[in-house]
Amino acid sequence: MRYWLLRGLATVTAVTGIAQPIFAGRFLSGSYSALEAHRGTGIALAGLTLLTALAAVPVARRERRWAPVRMAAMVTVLTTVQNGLGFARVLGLHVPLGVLIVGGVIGQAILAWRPSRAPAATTPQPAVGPTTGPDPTAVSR
Amino acid sequence: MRLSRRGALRLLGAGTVAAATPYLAGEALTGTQLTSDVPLPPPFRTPLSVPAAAVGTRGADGTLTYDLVQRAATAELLPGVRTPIWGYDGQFPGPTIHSRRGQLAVVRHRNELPVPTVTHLHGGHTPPDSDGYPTDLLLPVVGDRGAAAGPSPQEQGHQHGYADPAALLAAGTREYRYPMDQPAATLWYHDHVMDATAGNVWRGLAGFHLVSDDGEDALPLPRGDRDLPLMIMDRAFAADGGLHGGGLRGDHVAGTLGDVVLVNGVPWPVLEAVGARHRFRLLNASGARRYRLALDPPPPGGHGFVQIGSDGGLLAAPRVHDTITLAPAERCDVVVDLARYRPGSTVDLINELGSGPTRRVMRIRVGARTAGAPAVPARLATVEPLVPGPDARRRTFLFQAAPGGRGWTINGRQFDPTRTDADPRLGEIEVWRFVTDLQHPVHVHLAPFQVLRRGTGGPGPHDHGWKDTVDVRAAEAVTVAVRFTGYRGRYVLHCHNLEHEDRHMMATVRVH
Repeated sequence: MRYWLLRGLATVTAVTGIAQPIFAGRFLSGSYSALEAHRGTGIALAGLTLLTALAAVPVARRERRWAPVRMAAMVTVLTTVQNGLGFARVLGLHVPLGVLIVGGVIGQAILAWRPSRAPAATTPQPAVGPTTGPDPTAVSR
Repeated sequence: MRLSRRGALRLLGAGTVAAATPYLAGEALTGTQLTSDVPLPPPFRTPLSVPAAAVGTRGADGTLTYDLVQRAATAELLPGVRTPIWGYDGQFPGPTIHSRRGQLAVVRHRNELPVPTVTHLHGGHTPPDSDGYPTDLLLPVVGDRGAAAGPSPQEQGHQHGYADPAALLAAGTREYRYPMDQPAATLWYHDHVMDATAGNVWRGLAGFHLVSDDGEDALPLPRGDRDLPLMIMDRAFAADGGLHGGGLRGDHVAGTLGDVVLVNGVPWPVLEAVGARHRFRLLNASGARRYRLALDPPPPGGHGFVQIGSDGGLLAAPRVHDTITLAPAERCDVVVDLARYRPGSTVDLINELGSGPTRRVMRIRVGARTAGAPAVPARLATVEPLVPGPDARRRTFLFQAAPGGRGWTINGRQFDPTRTDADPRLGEIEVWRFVTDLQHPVHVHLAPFQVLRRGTGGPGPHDHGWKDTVDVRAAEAVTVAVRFTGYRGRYVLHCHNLEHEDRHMMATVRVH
């Protein structure tokens, strides 16, 4: 369940993130409604990246692998900064940061869909998917 | 070892980001920066001068008629440097015309230049035959005293390549008639000829045209020598003293940026001023350069500029600013209280968007505190808000580079005088949206407009009041309410980066 929540959120976040340069390009082609969509989607993306980061926590706890959470947290912070830069029209930073963020949201979606791996420090066990049963290290709470 | 390498990489990455951030975050100017080949004079040595008033003759009905001769002359813009210019009456800038609201002003232009010209009163509420449509050429005086033995004006127009059957051509002289049915405002007149405006204005064809009215007279604003029109323009000078880049077929498709800032034709002037309120009618008459003007140091408590007017006249109420942003052709009418500085202070008017020599504009040496105009009143004028109805006509104008980058377009099309691009109805409020790729100052003839939105928010700090030119920055959308009144006929809407205008970023607006 926790995997599917993360996968769902990460996927929606990635699709939303990819929509942003598309809206920007449409605006630069003259569509004002695309600018408004770009603004609204930017605000939504800040919320989605935060939810994705939160949803990554139980999975990370179970897998004892915190890199995806760190990445999601970074994407969340950058998205918030990105919104500020956009409203302030600091486009020289807004555009390259946007490229980084799109890379980030795609990356975290790929991570979310990858089969989970056991933490390297535990006893070797066969590679297991998320549906192969509870991980004893993750049920303590 | 492994950790330190990662640490070093991180440090390198962070350092790169930190170093690049100010560059990336800064505002770029749209244009090509030229460098003068003559040594630049030290700044703040030459006193500010104000263009002389044009002398008109008053007819029995109160009409003031002015005669201006457009001719080549030599000016000393830089100390000790003789610069060939083209000027109205041979002046750089041209003489200032003073008009009264509702009182017809007739300006008779005689063209003694070697090229056809067109004169536009920028911000004027002018009938179409006097507005200076780009193909309404005033052809040069032919031979001696206009003894026309050559081709007819129509034929000459075709020779110059402007195939516009509707063009109103004149040879030698033309009367421009300005009813002046508009509120007090800081207007300016300048050349507007098809394909060659940038070079003609660069050489000097620009001057102030100030309109006054009873409402403004009743306000306790600074007057006389404390009411200063300030025409700010950038130029560059060639080794022979001539204006560099004045060759209008230069390669500056993005715009021409000079490295000398002239105020009323004086490079980086110094103004000796008493410690009292002064009115500065700021005009950016540059071809492409944007300015963000600030007082350095700011007066104690900040808010050094009290804006009282915009392009089209007085604001309803004053607005305070620390900086004034001016795109080409924009005006901002401000009151600066020099009594806020200690007598003997030196205050610089600086340009925060410039660097090196273009960061400086003018120096003010503040003298003894003197009684003067009182604080700017809280109410200045009645500004009727333009409120578009729910089914108001909406139009979008997209300002973009032409494919291949050799010109500029509006809605994908380059200017064609035989085509109508917008056909607003007389007296109806419309909603127009300007969307840009790069920075484009958008100017609409005949009708002043009001900014409704900038980007996804409300009007910006300098968007208030009646505007005729709006600063639309790169990748920006500005929405305005506009109403054409008074006259039916053919006008234009265009980018006021003059190199863009000459490369056809212009559209015909036919009011019907």
